Amino acid sequence: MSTDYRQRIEEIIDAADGEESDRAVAALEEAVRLADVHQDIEWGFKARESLVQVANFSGHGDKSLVAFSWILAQIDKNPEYEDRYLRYDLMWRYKWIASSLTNFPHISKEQILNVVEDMERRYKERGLSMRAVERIRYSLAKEFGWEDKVEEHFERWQSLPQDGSQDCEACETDFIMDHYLFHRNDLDQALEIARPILEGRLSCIGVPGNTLTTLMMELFEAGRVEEADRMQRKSHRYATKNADRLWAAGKHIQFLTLTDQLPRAIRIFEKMASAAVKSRELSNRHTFIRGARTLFLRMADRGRKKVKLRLATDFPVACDEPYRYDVQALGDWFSWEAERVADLFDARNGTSDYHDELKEDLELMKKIQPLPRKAKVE
Amino acid sequence: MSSYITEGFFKLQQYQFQIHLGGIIDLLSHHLYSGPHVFIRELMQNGVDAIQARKQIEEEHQGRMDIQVVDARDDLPPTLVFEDNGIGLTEEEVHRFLATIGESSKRNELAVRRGDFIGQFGIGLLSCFMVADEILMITRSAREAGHPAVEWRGKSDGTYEVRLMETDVSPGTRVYLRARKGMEAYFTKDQVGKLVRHFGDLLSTPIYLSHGDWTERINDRRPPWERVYVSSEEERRSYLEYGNDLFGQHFIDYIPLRSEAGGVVGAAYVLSQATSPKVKSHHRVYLKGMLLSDQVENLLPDWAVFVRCVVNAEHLRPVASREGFYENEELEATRTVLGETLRAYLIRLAERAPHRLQDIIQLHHMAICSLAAHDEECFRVFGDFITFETTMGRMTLGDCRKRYDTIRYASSVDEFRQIAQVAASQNLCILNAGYVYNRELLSMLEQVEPDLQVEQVDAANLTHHLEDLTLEEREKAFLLLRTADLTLQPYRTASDIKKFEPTTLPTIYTSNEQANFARQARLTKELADDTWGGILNAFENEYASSQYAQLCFNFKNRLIQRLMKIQDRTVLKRVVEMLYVQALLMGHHPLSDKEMALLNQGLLQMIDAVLGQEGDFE
Ligand SMILES: Nc1ncnc2c1ncn2[C@@H]1O[C@H](COP(=O)(O)OP(=O)(O)OP(=O)(O)O)[C@@H](O)[C@H]1O
Ligand SMILES: [Mg+2]
Repeated sequence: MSTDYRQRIEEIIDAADGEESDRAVAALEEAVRLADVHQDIEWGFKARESLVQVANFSGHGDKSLVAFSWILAQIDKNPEYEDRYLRYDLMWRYKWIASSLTNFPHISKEQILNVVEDMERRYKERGLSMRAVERIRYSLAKEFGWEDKVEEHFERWQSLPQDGSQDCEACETDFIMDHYLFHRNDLDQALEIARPILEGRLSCIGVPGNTLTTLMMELFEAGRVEEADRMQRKSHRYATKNADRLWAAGKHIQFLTLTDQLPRAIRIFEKMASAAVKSRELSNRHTFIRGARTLFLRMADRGRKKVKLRLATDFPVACDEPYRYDVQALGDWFSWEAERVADLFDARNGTSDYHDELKEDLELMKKIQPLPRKAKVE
Repeated sequence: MSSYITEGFFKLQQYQFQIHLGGIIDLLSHHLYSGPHVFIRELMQNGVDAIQARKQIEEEHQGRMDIQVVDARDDLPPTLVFEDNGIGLTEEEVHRFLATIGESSKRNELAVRRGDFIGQFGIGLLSCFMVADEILMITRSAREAGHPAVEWRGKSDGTYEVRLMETDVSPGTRVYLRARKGMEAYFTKDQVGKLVRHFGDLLSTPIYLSHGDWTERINDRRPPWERVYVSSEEERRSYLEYGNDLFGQHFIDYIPLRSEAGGVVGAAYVLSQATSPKVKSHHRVYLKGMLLSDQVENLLPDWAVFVRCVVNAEHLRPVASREGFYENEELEATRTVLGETLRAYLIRLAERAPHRLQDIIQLHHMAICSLAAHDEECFRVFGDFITFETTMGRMTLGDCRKRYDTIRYASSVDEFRQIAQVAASQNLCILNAGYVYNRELLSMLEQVEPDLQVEQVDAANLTHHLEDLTLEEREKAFLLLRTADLTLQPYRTASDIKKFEPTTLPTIYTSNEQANFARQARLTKELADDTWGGILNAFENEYASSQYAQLCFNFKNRLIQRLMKIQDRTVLKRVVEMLYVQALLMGHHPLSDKEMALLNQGLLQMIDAVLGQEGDFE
């Protein structure tokens, strides 16, 4: 193996390219450290640039963010670094970072809004369209409970030019669909909008996985269980790829529980539990915790006392014999954790949305809809 | 809708699709074939098939192909003539097979053994329209002795003419192509020679290329696996030379390949340059002697990154573009057999020339690790030979397994560094699993060898296991620890004291992933503006509050012993700061500005002290 640190960094970057795993993130952090120890700005840029990407897509938004802010700071000090050392468009990535901020409840509302302003300023300086910025303002309005502004942001967003700095077409379509689902409450129109995605004409890293997962729950709530189940099966792999998908995994667990497909719900739970426990993207993780809460509360309702789970030893609920867990204890822990995190977010946002959701989850549990028999075959 | 089309309202009439030949040719040339040059391949293939068909009725028949290049003359463009002494066509067959797109004589009752032929789609000839506006074919069937020769003229506008000829020609087929304007480059002797050799150098049917008075046999060299050798050195030389010529690259070894499935023979060459885990090897593959592609990827199992192959297959099915194989059972079976062959080679190498195997693994380390980490089969092949950095020096996984019942590892390079010195002095073997793929390899090991214990050690754990002090000893260290805690507080580092080997080591600095992250946030904060500074600060507080890094003093170390006797807090503070910075440097941690300042101050004071002593002597 190489002794020269530059070569080592390069190897790490190459190997991590497209990996999107915890290991790749850890390796890139090591690359960053190597570059910093040698005070090598150039390789510091390169290693961090990869880290921004890989961490963002593997559920380590915090690491992505710190690396990104280093790059920004260096470029502010010396603008020519941007062309010299970066392979990818920095502003394109700003969107990822800006939209990940709400994930962390210890970042205040004001701090988040400041960053969006910083983003706006930099986009303006470069003559870019405000479309990407408006998209983020929309999400913030949703997050902070400014419901009356949501439609306004949506319309402004739609009117802003597309100059390539905005999200990709697949993501934008998914976004429009979300707006119809969650703001205009129009499932049929939303399905119509999602058609190019569902027919496979539009896709990207997050689409159709995201879209299918969203529609799965909405179809379920509309009583269209079989269609929902098809969505679930098509996005199953997506939901279990890595910690970035905890949100989707949680939705899947919830759906499978509500349609009485417990073994399948457990399989997803086992696969993702250890990532969820460690994840620091709290809102992403929170959806998983909610799904798991539904799962174990449901099992308890059905009178199940113990469950065998293949979980790593660092799981926060103790088992009584290897791999055997108390259902009640699991239900308690996930309920407690869900409340704790909901507190953090509601406090930051000044809303009660996170707690309301937890109540809605319990309501949904009263509406279990097992799949019709024939649809159950795998 | 259906109500409109009920019978009685309309009389349904059948129409024939109108095919626009220009469109089809465009489709083929831009979307199916990799370029106009493939017309040569298609013509050669048809010749090979025709000769094969003739052999089915005349076993002893000696096939032969002739290709003639005629230069441009006056206002005539350059011309190519492709001739074979194969089965030929009757008039009726000409109408049926040449004039109908998608009709092929190789797919119906005429094809006694369909697998004998390369062609099967009935579109190959169309590729000629990429370079010529007209195809002229003169053909005479070998099936019916009395049948006259036929002349067929097909045009790119989709029309054709057929004429019976009076002159007597011997059975076989000749195709004439005249270069379309702009396509002359494909009609030169050099280019044609190059392409014919490229596509046909493995064909056993002799091919002759002529140009004016000059004639040359193109494919007179046989591949190494068809030759007979008197010695193994001769064989080795022959194989390696062939590979070198073919790929224009040097190889360190070769492995003959043979598989009943797929009817495959050939050779795999061991690459002499490192491969990247993301890039698959591109193999050169022939089908019945004709080159299919030199970019085939799916011939070998994924793990076989260290070789590049050249093979000829008799029974695999090509895809329509003729540039790869169908993914079917036969291909799967072939892949398994070839994989076994490569594996047997590696195992033999491990027994007879382990250093050669080591070389291969070193060279393709990344690629092999990435595959072995995800693929059990590959792990079984290579696992034992993969080397790890350990506290006892570099070792192969196989050695570790032989020597220890429990494999212990540190999960990051950083942690490994923190542990290494202490572990080594206690003869504890700990693997560094901090590099990419290492941890996956260890989980794979666990999966493959369920009896083996695989255990993670982290630095914090390790210090827990170090020997504690007695109460009295603790008392002696009290002031030191208190001062250290206060001093290191701004650096989010706690202190502790234990007894450990080596005694020369005054401290160990341990941190964990969270503390490291908090540290990174702090370093970045020093650079960032206010907008980001606040956020980074929030992260640092969030993560550092629960998890402190730790500086652990070694009670057995002489310097620490002396330190415990010092009562002057300012002196203690300064020494602790220096020990802290030194521990960071030893652990290869980048220093923050503040830590850098500590280091500078400390050094200056030391220099000052030394000079002070000097002064005293004067
Ligand atoms: N040199 C030849 N000798 C005898 N018959 C020929 C010759 N070239 C073409 N043919 C006839 O013309 C038909 C069409 O040829 P073409 O190359 O278009 O299709 P193919 O070889 O059958 O299939 P493919 O599209 O896979 O090449 C062949 O099936 C064969 O009957
Ligand atoms: Mg053909």
